[in-house]
Amino acid sequence: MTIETIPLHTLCHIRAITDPEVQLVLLRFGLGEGDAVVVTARPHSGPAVLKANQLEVALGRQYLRFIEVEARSFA
Amino acid sequence: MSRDTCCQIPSPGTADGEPAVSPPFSCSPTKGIGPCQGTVLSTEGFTQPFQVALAGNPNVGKSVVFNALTGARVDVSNFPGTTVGIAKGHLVGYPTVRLEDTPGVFGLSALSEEETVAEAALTAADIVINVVSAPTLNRDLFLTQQLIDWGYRLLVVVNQLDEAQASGVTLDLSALESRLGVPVVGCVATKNQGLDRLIQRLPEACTGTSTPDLPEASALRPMELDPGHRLKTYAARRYYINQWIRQVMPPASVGGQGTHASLGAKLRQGTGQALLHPLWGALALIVVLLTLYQVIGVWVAGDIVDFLENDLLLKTLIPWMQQGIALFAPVGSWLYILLAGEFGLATMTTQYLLGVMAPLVFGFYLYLSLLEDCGYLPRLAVLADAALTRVGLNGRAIIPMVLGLGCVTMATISTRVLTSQRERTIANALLAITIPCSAQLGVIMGMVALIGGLKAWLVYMGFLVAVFAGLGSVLNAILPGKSSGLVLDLPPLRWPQPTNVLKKTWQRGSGFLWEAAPLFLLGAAIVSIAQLSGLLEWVQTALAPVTQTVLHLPKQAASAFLMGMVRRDFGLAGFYQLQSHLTATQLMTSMIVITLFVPCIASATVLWKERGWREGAGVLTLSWLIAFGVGAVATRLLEWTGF
Repeated sequence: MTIETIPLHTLCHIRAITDPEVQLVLLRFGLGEGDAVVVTARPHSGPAVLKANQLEVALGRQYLRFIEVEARSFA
Repeated sequence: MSRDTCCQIPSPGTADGEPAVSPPFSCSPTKGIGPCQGTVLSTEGFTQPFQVALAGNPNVGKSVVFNALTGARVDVSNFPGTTVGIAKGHLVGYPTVRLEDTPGVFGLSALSEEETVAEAALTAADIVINVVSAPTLNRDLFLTQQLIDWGYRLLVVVNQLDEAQASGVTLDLSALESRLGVPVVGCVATKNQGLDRLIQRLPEACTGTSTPDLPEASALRPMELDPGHRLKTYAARRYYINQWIRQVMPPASVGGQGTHASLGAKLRQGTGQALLHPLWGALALIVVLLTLYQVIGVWVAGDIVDFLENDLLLKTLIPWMQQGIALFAPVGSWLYILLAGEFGLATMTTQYLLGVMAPLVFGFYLYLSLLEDCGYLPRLAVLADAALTRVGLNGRAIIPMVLGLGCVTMATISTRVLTSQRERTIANALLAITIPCSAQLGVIMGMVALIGGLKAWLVYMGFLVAVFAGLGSVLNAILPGKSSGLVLDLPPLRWPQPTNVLKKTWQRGSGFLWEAAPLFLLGAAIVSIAQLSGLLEWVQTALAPVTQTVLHLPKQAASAFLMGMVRRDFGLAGFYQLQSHLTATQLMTSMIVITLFVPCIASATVLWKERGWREGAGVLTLSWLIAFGVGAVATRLLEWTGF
């Protein structure tokens, strides 16, 4: 499952980031494999808003399929 | 400083209540966790000239700290990317200490123009003050650690401690200081708390504890500028921070606030979520636009302008000016016509600049400053991302576009926040051609009120949106390469700070008047001289095929186009003057054409400077073609529909 498809407000862990460019971007935001995130918004055809560590980051739609996650529970 | 007090908000002046102390660090040439390393600058350093640069992630309050330390007035907003260049000043009370405010960056690897600019300023500095935000400390420490790894002499300022407290986040700043190996100071810059302590500890700035297993700074820098190597060093740095971050800040609940978040923080979080919802976010946008129309279009453009222009200027001040000018220049003489005639330098400039433009521009900037300060714009960027992606941009471009509604010149500079040259080309073309600035919007709203209110406003906006979408789509299709995706951090919503909002409104509004006044005078002089010499009549006749045949406007409209070449709002003012001779269709056509017409001299100059003469000339040519082409279609469509 990726960030593109996971239901909103599901607590999940980043399992893998399969694109180096996306990995680089997320590392600078303090996010990497193993970190817990929640997708709080994902407007139609738009970006996803990830929440983690008191931080909200909007990531463009084209990046989402590279972030594989594992669902844990609803936040 | 004790562990118990280190995370509390320091009181004004005395920081955490402690008396001024001498530097508690010893100089140690060895590396490792513990006290500050490197040679400590003595307090005598304040008597020697030295340079300090402020660095940090976007939207952590660098500019607030800079303003407080220098007494300057750099723009401060609640969205990332407010600072796009380097602001310079001196530490208040210490003229030998030069300060530079750099653009907010997440790292130093020349991934964007902002990073290149920031890195150059940091390299030239003797000391770097790294401002981090308490609520997002985990993220911000990546840059902090990179600055340490690159060998900068550093002092860390943990700002926004009040927001962290409100969110239920507690920090152990002494543990952070011990881990980083550089002095750490807590502050709430917007309330001027903790900044005295910052100045006291500035001489202690030093090199800190580097990430283990990474090469020395001289070898690391080129490595991190190389796309092939930086991922490995980035991952090592992040891994290192993750190992000790929990000693500094406890884990927060991932999806929400900290466990002890205040009611206000929870409300702000809920509102922030609602603004990102497709339905509630769209409704909020409609409310924002309707409020803008009511405030600027009805109250300011109607009531206030009516009072200022008609009651104060046209009935009182301008007749006095005309009488005064007639004392030394007989009515009808060339000097009288130049100063007080139809396009008089003294009378027309006073009437439009003070009676029409000033209230509209100040009103618009007040509204824009409120939106900027509360943190609404980044959320608008999320909602607009899908639409802007279709024109080759991403949601981040909404910020220059909204700023362009204030001043296109300023917005042209702010397109530096966009990642690629391709995006900047598209954004600048759209800004120069399709985005009306506040001065234009003000006059347009006044004219719209004359010809049908909200319906006319929707028609006007419909044409602009169509041109925006059409031009953007064409540029996206023909320009080589592809645009980048959105990566944007969303700051927490905050109540706008009245002092900041009012100062910013005043600064921008008065800046507009200073910039516009000479250009208005120049425009009035050109048109008056053209009128006196008979050139205006010749231009009107020469342009008649365009004005009369293509646009179905009277030939006098050529004067307004001539004025519009100096400033578009000045051209609109010309049409405003002709309003009693124009039908509703002609007024709408003229508003559309002059909006799409050439950008003002100031915007064109900045565009040429930022993008080069070739792109600047291309945009100017395109604006003429689009303005008259769309004008021709609009006038026929409006006539056909019986507008």
